[in-house]
Amino acid sequence: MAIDILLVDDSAVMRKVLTRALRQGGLDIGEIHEAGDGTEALEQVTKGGISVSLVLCDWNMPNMNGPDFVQEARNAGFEAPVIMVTTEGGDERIAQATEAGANGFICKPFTPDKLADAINSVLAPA
Amino acid sequence: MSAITSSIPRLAPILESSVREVIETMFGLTLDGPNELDGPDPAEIFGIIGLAGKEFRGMLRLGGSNDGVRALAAAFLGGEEMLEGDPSMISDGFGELVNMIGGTLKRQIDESGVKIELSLPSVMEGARGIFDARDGHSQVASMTWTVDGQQLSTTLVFSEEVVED
Repeated sequence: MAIDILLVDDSAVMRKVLTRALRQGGLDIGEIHEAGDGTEALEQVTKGGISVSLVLCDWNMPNMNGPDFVQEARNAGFEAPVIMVTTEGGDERIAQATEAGANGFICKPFTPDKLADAINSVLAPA
Repeated sequence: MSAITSSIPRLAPILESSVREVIETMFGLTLDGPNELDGPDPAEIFGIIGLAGKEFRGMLRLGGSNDGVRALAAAFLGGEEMLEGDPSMISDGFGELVNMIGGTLKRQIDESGVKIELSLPSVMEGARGIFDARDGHSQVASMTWTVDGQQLSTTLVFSEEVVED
């Protein structure tokens, strides 16, 4: 079954790079939706009528950052896995992302294979 | 290469490995170098990101020619056609590149026990000749690379002193 994905990043370049990596990663990718910040993403997943099986979310964004988006989305009942895609790693960041409700974490730079592994790890049945 | 008297060990190799990790991993390009850069930076476009902490303050600067930065952006996005119709893609792509190299550098510096934060990246165009490799700083790691026939410069200028709260 194809994976429909929402990309949340204020950089149009990064959204293109992520789209390219997704297409190269060997996964069955369906529709790819895009949002330029957390506010726009929250609107899409709670009121916009889109149905996605995964969100890839940047950390630093204007209006609403990644962790705040995840927390707000979870509070609104959004259940699909969220993977944070960020430049900065570290235990504190991972803990903050997990506490907000994120399911995975991937640091830039990444290869298409590494991205696919991160996606498989959160979509794999328990 | 300039002497580095940093308490952070081997800062120049950390910069070198950060540049390699991003460009070779994310772009799939081969880097030739590094070579020494000691004098005016010939680049025309610069991507800049600040690094700041209690014990370390600095700036990472990435420079390239107009053609070189365009070629990098095209490689980043998957082809020259991806740049057509939106000139901002070139500078935005270069900003993302310096952001990723800065993040990779930060992770390695953090591992040495020195905590720093990154600023948002910015890109300066039409800036040929405004930077010198050393820029009056005593602590600098500066090097040039060749990527697909285009020169890329990477410079980390920094100072270390404990800043009181």
